[in-house]
Amino acid sequence: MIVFTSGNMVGTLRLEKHLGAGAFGSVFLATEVMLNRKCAVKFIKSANPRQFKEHVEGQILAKCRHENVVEVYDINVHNNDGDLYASIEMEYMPNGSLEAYINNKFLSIKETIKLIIDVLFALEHAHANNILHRDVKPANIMIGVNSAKIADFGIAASVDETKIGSVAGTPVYCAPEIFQPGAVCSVQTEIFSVGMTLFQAISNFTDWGSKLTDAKYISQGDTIKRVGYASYIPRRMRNICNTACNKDPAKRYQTARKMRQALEDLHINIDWHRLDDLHWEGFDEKKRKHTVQICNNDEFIYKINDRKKSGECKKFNTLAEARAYIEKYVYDNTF
Amino acid sequence: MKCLGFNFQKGKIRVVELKRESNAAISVVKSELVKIDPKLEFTELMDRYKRDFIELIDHNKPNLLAARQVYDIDTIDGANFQIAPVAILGLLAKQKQLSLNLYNAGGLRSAGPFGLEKGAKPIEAVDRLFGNHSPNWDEFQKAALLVAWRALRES
Repeated sequence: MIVFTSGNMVGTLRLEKHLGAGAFGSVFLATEVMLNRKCAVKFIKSANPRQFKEHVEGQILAKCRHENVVEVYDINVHNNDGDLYASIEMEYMPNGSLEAYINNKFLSIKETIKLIIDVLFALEHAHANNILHRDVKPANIMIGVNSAKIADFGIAASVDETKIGSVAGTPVYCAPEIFQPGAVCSVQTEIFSVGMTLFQAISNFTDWGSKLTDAKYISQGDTIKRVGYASYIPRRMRNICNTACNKDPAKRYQTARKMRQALEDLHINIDWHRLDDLHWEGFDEKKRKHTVQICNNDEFIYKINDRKKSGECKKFNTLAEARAYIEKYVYDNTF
Repeated sequence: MKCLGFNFQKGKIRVVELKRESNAAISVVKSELVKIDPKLEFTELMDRYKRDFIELIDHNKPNLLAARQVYDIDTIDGANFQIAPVAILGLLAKQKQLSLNLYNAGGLRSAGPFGLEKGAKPIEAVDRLFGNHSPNWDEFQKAALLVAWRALRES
């Protein structure tokens, strides 16, 4: 009998740590002992051993092999007292997901653009191979060394496959038409999910619950309108999110490449990072450090390479005015 | 037979795909301008070129590649945006077992290699022979066509 617990062997895999579980299976950090290679392994119990298809996710990963898609190493089947399990051995991404990343640190507009471009490269490749991921969201985007990789093709499907009425994916990232009778997943529903992911990443939040109290906004495609943009997010970036998340699929980017090209057109002037609500720091392409800060509750201070630029410093009557100004400054000087 | 022709500018890849039919007629399949953020750091820029080329090659499945080669240039921008991408394309051509034909500006000026009458300028024959493929149908885009055209004639 196989016991899926850390420390146990399953075939040639030594399970080391339980990484997570979902509706589709459990994921462990493991070592494949023959090659002495670390991997993330997903075990999926077969719902119907007579029509075993739990290995399909691994086949899709193999078909979509790309530097921005988590690599699949091997697929196996394990018989556990009559229950069949598929194991899908994949590349282990120690930095975790984009969702975890946003939880831990501020993601700048420049970093976000790069990560989303990586995701769009991966989707462009998947779509060219006739595959829709159908669950694009920060939790399924893994952070690698200098790049992002898309993971979890557990509910992926062929572009040609009609998935009428299937509300695939995580609701908040789903396009409004997915909630309509006779819904069909498409490249445009995927673009919507990327747009929502982009919106969440540039907004730097993970807790939708506190932002969205009524689920009807999701099914109506009004999530962004309801939640709103943080005031530091520049207009051109908002336009890209709004186009990707347009209620009308025909008005969204029609391909992953089109959306990627729109992001390529945004040239960062200063890559701002928020240190706290009253303090931002950024670097320009000449590596000069720009600092904007509210001091003494009402004074806006601007520095380049730690030298105060008195001409751009200002005093305000209230902290609220100063705070609004600092975000406006970032808004105006990002692109 | 299909050929992807490339011409490089700062922040832009000009791409034209030509197809030669069995009766030797050559036509435009696709004309595309691919943007790349020119402010990317060098290593990012090279990686972006690589991934863009891979997508273009994998999607269009050409039998042959061609590019306009620049060497008489003495600026950093010229090195980064016109010379370096040709090197990246060369590496990928090797990996994907595709031929890459390179032509400099002089090689695109003479009528002979294009089968045109003596004295004719190839770039001026482009619209008449291949039509107008707006948007972005300027001399830079037509140079991407010229390299593909000459490569197909020589293959």
